Amino acid sequence: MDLTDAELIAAHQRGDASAVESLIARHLGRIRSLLFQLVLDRDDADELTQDVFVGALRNLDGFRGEAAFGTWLHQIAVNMARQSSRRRKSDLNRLLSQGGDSTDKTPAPEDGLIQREESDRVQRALARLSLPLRSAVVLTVMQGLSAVEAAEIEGCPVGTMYWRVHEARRLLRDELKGLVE
Amino acid sequence: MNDATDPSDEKLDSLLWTWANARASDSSGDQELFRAITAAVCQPRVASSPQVVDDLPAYSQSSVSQKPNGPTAKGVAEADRDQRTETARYP
Repeated sequence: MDLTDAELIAAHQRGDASAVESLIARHLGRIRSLLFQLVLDRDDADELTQDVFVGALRNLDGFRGEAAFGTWLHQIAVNMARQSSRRRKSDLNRLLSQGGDSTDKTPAPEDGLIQREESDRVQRALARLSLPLRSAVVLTVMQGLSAVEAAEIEGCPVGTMYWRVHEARRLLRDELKGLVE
Repeated sequence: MNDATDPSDEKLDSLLWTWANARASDSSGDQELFRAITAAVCQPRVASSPQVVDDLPAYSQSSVSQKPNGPTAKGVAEADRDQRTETARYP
């Protein structure tokens, strides 16, 4: 039977080194995806993913268990994306002018669900959103969290989160005309 | 959150979810990242002096905005390399 996050944290604090590996393996994919969706650059997302896990796991003693471990990781990831966005504005502008993420080595999906051109349009539309609006739509629509959970992660009132999602959808509909009508 | 009631919102959410899912299914680099993180989290505790670990800020619900200033895998590797260089230079 799989141990819960809380049990793995307790095992880590008792000196079980394998518990850390289990925690990383369990949350790595989701945090990596979240960070790519927020910063829209594969290399930066990977660097931030490493910072999130190293920072969190080396400071587990400060984790008070008031939120789920996954929520705590999401909070750290969103905060780190916010900090990095201040120095990355020029990179996003380059992405917008070039029409795609030059560091993205992801092959074009071959299953026909979304074509490369559509994918680039979505990515550019997301890049045009401010980070709070992008984060709102990433957390709720892409990560499937409730507005309450997303507000907790962002540290804002739930009403603000609803407004951000509404505003982000409005701007994205404008940017993606033809794809969503 | 799935409260899109406008049909165009449903199409938009579907497009965004499909875009995100296509990216999420790409797990290339996961193993490399996993190894880098486990090395950074586990090894420096043995290799570093206790003061370095003790000086790290603690994360909590109220201080999640703090960026950790502990060594990253890249930083640890560079420090190890510098140490080896120093050792070679001053045996």
